[in-house]
Amino acid sequence: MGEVLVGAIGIVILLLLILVGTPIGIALISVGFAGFAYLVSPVAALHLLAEEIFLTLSSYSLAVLPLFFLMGQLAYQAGMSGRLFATAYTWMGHLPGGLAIAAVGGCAGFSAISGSSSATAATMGMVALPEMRKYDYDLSLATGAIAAGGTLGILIPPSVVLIIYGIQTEQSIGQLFVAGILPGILLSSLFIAAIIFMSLRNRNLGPQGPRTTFKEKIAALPGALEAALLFGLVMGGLLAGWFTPTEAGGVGALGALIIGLARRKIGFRDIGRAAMETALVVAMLFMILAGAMLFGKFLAVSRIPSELAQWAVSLPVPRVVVLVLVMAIYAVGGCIMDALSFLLVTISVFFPMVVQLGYDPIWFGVIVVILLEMGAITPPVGINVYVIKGVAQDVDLGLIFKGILPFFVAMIVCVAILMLCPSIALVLPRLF
Amino acid sequence: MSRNVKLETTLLKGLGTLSQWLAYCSGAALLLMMILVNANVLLRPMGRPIWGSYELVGFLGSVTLSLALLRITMNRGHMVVEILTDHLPDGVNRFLDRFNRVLGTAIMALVSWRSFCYARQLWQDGEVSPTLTMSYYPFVLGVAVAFGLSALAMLLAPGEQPQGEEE
Repeated sequence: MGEVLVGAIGIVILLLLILVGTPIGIALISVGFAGFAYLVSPVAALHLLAEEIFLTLSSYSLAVLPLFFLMGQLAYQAGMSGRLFATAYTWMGHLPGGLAIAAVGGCAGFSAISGSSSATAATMGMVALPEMRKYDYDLSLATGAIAAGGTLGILIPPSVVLIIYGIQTEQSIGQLFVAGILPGILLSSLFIAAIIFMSLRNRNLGPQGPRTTFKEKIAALPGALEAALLFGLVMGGLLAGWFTPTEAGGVGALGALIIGLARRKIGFRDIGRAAMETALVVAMLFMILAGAMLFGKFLAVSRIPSELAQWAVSLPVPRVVVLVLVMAIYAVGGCIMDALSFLLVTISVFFPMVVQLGYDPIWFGVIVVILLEMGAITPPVGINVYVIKGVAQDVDLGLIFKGILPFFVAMIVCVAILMLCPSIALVLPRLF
Repeated sequence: MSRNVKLETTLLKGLGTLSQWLAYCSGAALLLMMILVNANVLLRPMGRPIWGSYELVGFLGSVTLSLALLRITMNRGHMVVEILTDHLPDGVNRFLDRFNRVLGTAIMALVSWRSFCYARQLWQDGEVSPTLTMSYYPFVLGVAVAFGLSALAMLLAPGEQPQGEEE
């Protein structure tokens, strides 16, 4: 049997295992190990198994993940999301749909200190939803805005998905982070435009809040200042070359801890809980990561990625058609699997193809993140929607999904703009 | 209660308590990693970086993740896709659950065994880390133990309850 055929069979078995509920990490390790044993040798596969897993668990560059996760956890415990929302509300609450706009603004701000989409949605849901209920907001708009706003968490740096993408494709994490800034602002603006448009069409959806004075607006700024400082420290230090991405995560985590301690929001018990919860989430992720590394080795010896790339280039169709097909796979895949897992399972297959077609790897990383974000708000997985459902248990799931629709359209518009104008994502990385 | 069931229950209870303690230690290792990274960032501009801090961060990473593994397995916290299994009959789901547990146990046990072999090899060869020149087989041994315990937990953990049925 040829290597490519073995690789293809391996991919099919992997998908089958995942579909029948095998833990994704276990499925990746099983297929990766068995495939490598078949194509190379069982002895080599047995050696690879232990070494690859230990290398993954003890990798310095992968230590960036727990540290950035810890930063987000500590920022949450420090109550930074609540203060971000309060600032955004003071500045934008008087606009039509002002509270929903403030929630998206708060999400964008919290995204700058947390790299997780569901954490951003959960934390802003707890803060903003009660306020929107108080002002009689349409629940569909309210929940949709927060679930969609949460997706900014994995686009605006620091982003866990961009970190994984960078590690798997050997791209600079700093450059990827910078590349996410302008598309993040663009997507936030499109979300806000969608809220204003809907609220103007139907004034009952998002009643305007009270107008605030200029003095009140200035007084509210410190609520955003701490997040801005933390973001500036992490990104500034990273771009100035003061520290590595792993160190940036560590500095960010300590910064969030100091803010929490200074504001007396965090006690020793909270620090311990945040660290333990982070460790558990990250260990779950590392099982998949270790499996993906092993699976990647199997795919490499099967030559599937390089053959696929060659095939894609030789197709008698414009390269954009192939790109759109790959994008469709990511958009659909994100609907059935967690964003990070899907990225880990597929990136070693599609990345060489897209690069071979001549697309910029940094730009493609940003596009992939937005596509996977779409999956986070669409059924059946739609993790952010379930997070919001957890916060607002009396709201019907269908109502939340209905509320998502305008934001989903905004995401499609964002992808289209980035395809027409890739420099939005690439202008900043070229400067640094 | 038969002797086997009693033993299983005791083992599960023991693993549960152990996993909780290991999870606390895992969090502590993560905090230590954060402190080490920051200390190095602060000391480096003064010309006194912490020697071998990159290696130590890596080793602390393996400690953090190994210690957390048992808790995840005990809580059935590994990431799964339920899009298909949610719609399958209970009987089929029970079979798939058993299949996944057997596969999971086998893989975890295999990783554990190979990690033991790898650790023994490193110990026999006197392999040390490049910067600190310290033996790192104990960390590999830690990974082996973590996977071994997780294999046991996966084997013993109660199976999926059919919908609508409660213990």
